[in-house]
Amino acid sequence: MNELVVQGLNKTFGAVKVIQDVSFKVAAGSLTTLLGPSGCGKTTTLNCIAGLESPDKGLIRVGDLVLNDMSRHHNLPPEARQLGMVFQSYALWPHMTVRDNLNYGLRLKKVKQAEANRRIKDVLEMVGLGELSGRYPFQLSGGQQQRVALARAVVTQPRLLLLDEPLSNLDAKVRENARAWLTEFQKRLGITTIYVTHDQSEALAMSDMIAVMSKGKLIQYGPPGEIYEHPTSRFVAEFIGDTAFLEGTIAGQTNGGVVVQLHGNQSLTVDTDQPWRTGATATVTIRSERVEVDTEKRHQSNIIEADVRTSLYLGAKWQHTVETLAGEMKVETLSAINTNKLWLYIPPTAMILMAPEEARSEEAAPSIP
Amino acid sequence: MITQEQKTAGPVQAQEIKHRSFDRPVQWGIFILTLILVIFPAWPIILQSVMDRPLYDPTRSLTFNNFARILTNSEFWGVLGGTLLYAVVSTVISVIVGASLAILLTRTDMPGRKWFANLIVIPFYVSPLILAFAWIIVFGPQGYFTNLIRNLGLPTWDLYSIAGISVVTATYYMPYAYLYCTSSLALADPQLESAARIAGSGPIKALWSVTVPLMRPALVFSTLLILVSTIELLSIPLVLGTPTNINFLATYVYTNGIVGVRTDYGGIAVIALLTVLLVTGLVALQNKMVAQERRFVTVGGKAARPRILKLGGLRWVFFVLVLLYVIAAIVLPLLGILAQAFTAILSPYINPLSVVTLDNFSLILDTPAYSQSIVNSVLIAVVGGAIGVLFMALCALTVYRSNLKLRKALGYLALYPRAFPGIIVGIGFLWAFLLIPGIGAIRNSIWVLALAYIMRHLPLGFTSISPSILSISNELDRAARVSGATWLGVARSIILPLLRPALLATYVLLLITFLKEYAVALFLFAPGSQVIGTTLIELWRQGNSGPISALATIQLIITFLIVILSRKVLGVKIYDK
Repeated sequence: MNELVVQGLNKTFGAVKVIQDVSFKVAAGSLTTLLGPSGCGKTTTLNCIAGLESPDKGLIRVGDLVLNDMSRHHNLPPEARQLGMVFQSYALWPHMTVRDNLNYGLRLKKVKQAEANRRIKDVLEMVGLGELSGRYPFQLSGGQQQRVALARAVVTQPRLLLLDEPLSNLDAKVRENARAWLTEFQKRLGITTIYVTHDQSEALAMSDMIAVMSKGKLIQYGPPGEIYEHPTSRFVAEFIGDTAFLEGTIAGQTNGGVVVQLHGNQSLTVDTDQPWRTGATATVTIRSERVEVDTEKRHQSNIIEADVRTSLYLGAKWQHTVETLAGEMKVETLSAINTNKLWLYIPPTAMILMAPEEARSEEAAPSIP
Repeated sequence: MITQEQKTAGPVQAQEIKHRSFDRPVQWGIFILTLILVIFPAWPIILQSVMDRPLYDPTRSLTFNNFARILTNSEFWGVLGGTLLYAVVSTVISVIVGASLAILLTRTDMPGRKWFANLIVIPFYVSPLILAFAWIIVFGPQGYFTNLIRNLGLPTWDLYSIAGISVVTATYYMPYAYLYCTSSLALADPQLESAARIAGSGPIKALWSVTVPLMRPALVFSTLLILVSTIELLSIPLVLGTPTNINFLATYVYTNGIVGVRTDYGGIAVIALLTVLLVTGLVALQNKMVAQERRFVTVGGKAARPRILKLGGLRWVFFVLVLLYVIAAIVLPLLGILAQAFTAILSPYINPLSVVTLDNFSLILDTPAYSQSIVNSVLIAVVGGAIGVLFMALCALTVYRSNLKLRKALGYLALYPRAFPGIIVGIGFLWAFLLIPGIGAIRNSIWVLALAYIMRHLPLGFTSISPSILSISNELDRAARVSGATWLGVARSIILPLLRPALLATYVLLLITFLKEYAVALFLFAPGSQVIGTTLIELWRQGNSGPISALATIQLIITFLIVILSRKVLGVKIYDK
């Protein structure tokens, strides 16, 4: 079993720092997602691990094999790294059959043909494509191509599996099935996996750990629940889920929390385990699905009055953009509403308080030792 | 959080894999070979331009008199002026005719478009030398057609004039403009024209205000390409200009470099150098203007059916005009050369059927020196072309698909021979061989010619292969690298197989080009290594139009066999990708 260690990774293109001091560790057999918007450095990080790009500084190690140690100018070429990788476009070689695509890496690793045949057969059966080994890539559907690419990546029994947005070219329906299927496949093989995506729901659904990146920096690293429930910066909160940010000042202390005074003379009680000074400014972070929406005022506290601006029917639910005296936010209901006035109840446990510097977010990076 | 994770990463004491591959040596090898190939013909010319005596003379010494002598020579300035005039006139004619034909044949309902499309690209396959002979036979002062007109008491024309030379040259280069404009029109997104129609413009206005401006990159590119090619062109000015003493740069270098008894080596070197500088400037301009024309690149137009403009009654007017052009410029000259090849004498005063003969062919085939030239041309084309394609492909792969530090420099290097006229490549190679002792043995072999051909046409092969390499997603390479293949392994097992159609097309292109090539060989060939082109010029010096036509016919037949075979058997299309 191979753990992956990335330490102090840096890379610049010209004057642009595409990766800045990125460090993380992936436990053997787990799936870690590099998540972020385009241009955040996640793909460059993946390419550095794959050896397709070389970092300026840093160390990358898989198990006992050092892939990069730039302080000693050690930089293995990709072919010597013993990795498997699935590309966004799948990159199936169009002039080779499915079988030949799988056999390519095995031949280069000098695996005996009988053994190679057995492995190809096993892997193709695992991905449910045993019948299609004689087909050419263009004769396969998108979903099938994606599974062939995966089979090709793992058939050589690599130390590490790298996935570069492998689901982004699939139709919405196929993608949802592929998510579950891919997670199960990864767990069955128990292979250490790095998964790159910009799709937060994919990251939350599939990962053991998520590394959120922005502008070349690692912003937050943790299990999906922690990333979702306890974002440490406005960037993470904003990137993952529909989130409202309401500005306010600390008006007083309660048992296990504080009272925040918002614009428009409204106040919310927020549970927090951090000490907050009365009078300090703070941003209240609210997930839209945690807001309880009512057409009449049922609660006495933590209630905000809102006017409906627009309502979108999303099938399973309705999403409303509403205006409050404290600011604009998005809320959800299960059925249509026929009034313009809403009462929003926000439970004290459903909010996170952020100090202005955290809330200003994007530039904020966690301190790195 | 991450601070905890990092600390556990701990000190690294781990295994390392020693890695070795031939990737770097091969990439460097290609770079160095290209460098040598490009410098090889250049350095003796540069050296000679600042020497007072021939390079082989050990008493030579440094001087700048050569430059002073040439630059103060009024004859040189006259030749330069004439060359520029001739180049501009030829270019303007060929681009206007080529672009008009492109629009007429791809975007209107003019009758007979398919037929014309096949006919008007014929000069592309024909050696300009042969085209010049063909025009003389039909339109020369004693040409068949000229005599016909003269007999009718009508005024005739003078083919041996700057105007005449320009018209023949324009006919030769017209297909280049036509092909570039056609592919630009084919790529243009028809939705752009549709949008103009929705905005309220009529069909002709839409064509004129949207589609024609979109051809601008193709027009700019082909204009400069043809301008450069015309300045370099030796054959048509040589054959048509010599009788009336019209000299352009290429012919001036040739006549003074090869024919003169007391050859002015320094002077020739200076003129060659100045010509290379002139062409370099034009090529640089071409690159710059094409780069600026990016904004005209249309995106997304994929093989959509273009709108066809209805010409109404005008369609027949255009039909007659195009028909006349094709008959006069292409069909008649080629028929003339065929008729001349198979007759003892070709004249309107004699019934050609009464003088039909195969003597011309037997003269060529029975004279060992002549028949050898056919064998040599074919050998150089077939073998040299194959080696050339492989080398050019590796060159393009190194430029576009390696991380060699000097890959960009290699790209420029591979394109630089564009600035070398064929005649100057020939002189450069010749002088280089004179300077390097001990290689006399290979000096007379045809493989010297093959090497010079490969150097001269490196840009052609490079630019023909490059787009196909760029169209192959580099994720395919990366996937193979991650699977454990070296750079060379990826090239061999992934990219070259995927490039097969492009490599075949480039090979056919080189076959035809090498068969046509004569300028490079004029200085380089030795007894035993003559090629069709050099033999044609030798026959022309003797004034034998019958054998010339026979040899030209043989070359035409070989060329068209290659074109037809490659299309039917291999499915190769050289142009219109």
